[in-house]
Amino acid sequence: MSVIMETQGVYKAFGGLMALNQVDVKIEEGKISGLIGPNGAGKTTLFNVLSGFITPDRGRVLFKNRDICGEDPYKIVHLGLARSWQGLRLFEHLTVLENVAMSLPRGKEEGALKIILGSWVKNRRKVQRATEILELVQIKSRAQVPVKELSYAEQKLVAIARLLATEAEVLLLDEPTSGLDEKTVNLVIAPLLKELVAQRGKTICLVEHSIKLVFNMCDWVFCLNEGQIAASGRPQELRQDEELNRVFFQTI
Amino acid sequence: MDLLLPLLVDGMCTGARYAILGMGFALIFNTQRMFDISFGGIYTWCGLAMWILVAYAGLGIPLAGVLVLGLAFFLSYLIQKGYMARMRNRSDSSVSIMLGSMAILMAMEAIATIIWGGEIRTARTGDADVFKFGPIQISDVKFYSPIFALSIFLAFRYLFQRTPLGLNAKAVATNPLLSRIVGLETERILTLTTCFGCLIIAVDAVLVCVDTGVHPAIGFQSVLIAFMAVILGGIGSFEGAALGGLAIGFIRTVAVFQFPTLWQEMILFVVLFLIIAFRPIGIFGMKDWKKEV
Amino acid sequence: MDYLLHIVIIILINIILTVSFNILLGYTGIFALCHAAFYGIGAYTATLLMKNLGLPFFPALACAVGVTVLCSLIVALPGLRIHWDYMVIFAFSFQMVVYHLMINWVELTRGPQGIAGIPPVTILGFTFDSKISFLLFSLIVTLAVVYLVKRIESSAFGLVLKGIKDDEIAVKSVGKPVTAYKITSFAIAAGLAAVAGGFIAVYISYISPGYFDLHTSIFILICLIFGGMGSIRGAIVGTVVLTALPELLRFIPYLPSTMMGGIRDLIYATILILFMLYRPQGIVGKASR
Repeated sequence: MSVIMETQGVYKAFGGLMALNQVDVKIEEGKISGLIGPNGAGKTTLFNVLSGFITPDRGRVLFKNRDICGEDPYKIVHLGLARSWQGLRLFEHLTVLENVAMSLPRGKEEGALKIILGSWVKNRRKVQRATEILELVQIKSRAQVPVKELSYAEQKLVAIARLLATEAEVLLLDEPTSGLDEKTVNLVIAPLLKELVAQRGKTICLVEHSIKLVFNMCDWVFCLNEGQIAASGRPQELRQDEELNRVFFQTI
Repeated sequence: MDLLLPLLVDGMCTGARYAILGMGFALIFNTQRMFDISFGGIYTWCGLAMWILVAYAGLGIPLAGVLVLGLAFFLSYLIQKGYMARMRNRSDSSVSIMLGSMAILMAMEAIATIIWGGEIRTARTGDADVFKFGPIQISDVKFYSPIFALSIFLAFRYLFQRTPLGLNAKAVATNPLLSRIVGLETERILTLTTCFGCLIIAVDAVLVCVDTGVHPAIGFQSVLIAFMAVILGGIGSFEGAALGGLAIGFIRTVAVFQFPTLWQEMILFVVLFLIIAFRPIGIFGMKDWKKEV
Repeated sequence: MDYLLHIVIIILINIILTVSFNILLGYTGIFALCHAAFYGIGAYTATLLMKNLGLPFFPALACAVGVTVLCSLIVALPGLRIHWDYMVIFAFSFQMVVYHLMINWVELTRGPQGIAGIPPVTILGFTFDSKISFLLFSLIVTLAVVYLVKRIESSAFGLVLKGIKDDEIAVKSVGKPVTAYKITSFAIAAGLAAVAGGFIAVYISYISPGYFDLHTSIFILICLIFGGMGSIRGAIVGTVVLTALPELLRFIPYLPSTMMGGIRDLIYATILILFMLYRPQGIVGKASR
């Protein structure tokens, strides 16, 4: 039951617009947390703060008990925290395999010279690892296809695969199921996320609009509205509250 | 002290000319938010057209000037409609726009070189009128430069704040996506604003032709000055560009005075280099010019 | 025949330039219009070391590469902090500063006069002063450079560069230090340009600032756009065609030499105009970029 990541009093404003106001969030290791709220509530901003792409005006961000405020995003990935993007941000001109292989961390056998001059395709460990991930996400058959030729659903799977490739322990997924059909969500994404937590010891935090999914999967839920945490707790408990139901859970 | 006054006056006049360039480019850049440098080619052609009209066809300078301004507007319209609009349609990348506009600039200067050769030609036939103010003597061109600069400054500030075109241009500059949604014909507004920008720039082409003379490479030089004016004075600020141009004019004049001839050109580039390295948004620039994440 | 050999040698040297610029523009997507400046710094450094200190070719070249790589930091380091749109102007201003230094710093560079009498390359007693021998020499070096760049392209490093071109922020989000990658790609590109600089110096035995100005940078750029950015084949095709093309102009009768510059520029500009609009992927590239 240890807290692997938390924010303390995070405050962020853009010009006159306050995006995050006194946000205190504790994310438990080995669990799936959900972050929900209406559009513009600040969910993606919070993710940006957690992953280092935005520095808060006030407050602290702790990862494994270490203050990571102001750290470079890529360093935070090395520490074990990675995120996916709502807009996917895939490397469109590269193939699926290349997208994933590129995201793998540097291996111990890779010195600088090897990285610059050695053909990555010949690096068996890398190719094998990347292929495994593609298989896990069920997109191995499209490995050699340039990403921009994939369907939206396939691209979303590649985004998840790329996230996994970073080998980070804590994964922040920004709307991983939006725009996907029920079948893919239920048969591919949901089981995958559960397996990552149960079998591979990952910690996951989702930004989601599908309340059904959130209630299905999350051990803990944070409700964010207008930059503030309105409530947080176990899904079943939150459901009892009428006010929360009105603001957040309309879709049930 | 004796030297200070002529220095100030000269700096003022050069500064005024550069301010004109800065304002013209600011108009283009602030609305398009991209580095469309095709105005450089228009500058060259207008300068040379001015020469043709005055020295060849014998027209009076004011009349020739007005015709040249019209030419600038017309050329800009052609370039925008015929090429730049299609480039903008095709690609969001600011690099492509810059390259395409640079190509237009190169083509226009190349054509000018082929037809005119490389010599400098002035539109001035006979001696310049000289105005005397106490101890200062200014040639008429130098006298008119600040007047023109100021008029352009006031006129366009007014236009931005009062006229529908100006307000729409501001809207498009600040938020192109929203403008499109709201129904503003962004492309048309961009084209018109750019044409006006080129018109302003052509004013300086006319002045240069009468003052020091024109040759095919001046277009490129005007682009450099305009760039520096906008970057120094502040990205996104019309007033800033005018002030930036003024400042550069002064720097240039002082450089001419203090430094050996060969190093003058370099000073400006070093200034540009340092500004971009240390304060790319310029003195009056707006911070959220381009959003990142 | 001699003339033909000359063209081939120039093409080979230009290939080193375009293929190295491709690392910046084609792979990483950095539009740095200062490649001719690196070319020039390499040329002048090698020349001064050979003429004033009597260094043989290869050590002089090695030092030239080192100096140029250090200079590339001047562009790369500040260039990282600024928004990438400004990189264009920033690199361009660097190009102009370097060019003006070459012209003005007469004590060092002899200014617009240039430096003549650069000694030819001598290895193990054999002097490469005939066109044929120099052609073979530069052929070997150019092939080596192309091979090197090919290895870089297919490496893990190269893959990250291509990722940076597509989405730099995404590259950060998968744990890669984008800054370090950009600085390195600058260094490699500049170093290779310096090699070309050393070669042009010993080939023509004379260098002057005019060889390394903005015009040259733009020429390198147009070769890439014409042939196709992002691929070695594209760079080579572009270089061959655009280097050979102006030479054909010499054979047009009654063409005054004053016009030639203008016509050549017009051809280049037209190519740029058409390709930017209708075929931005270049001759070799695939459509729908």
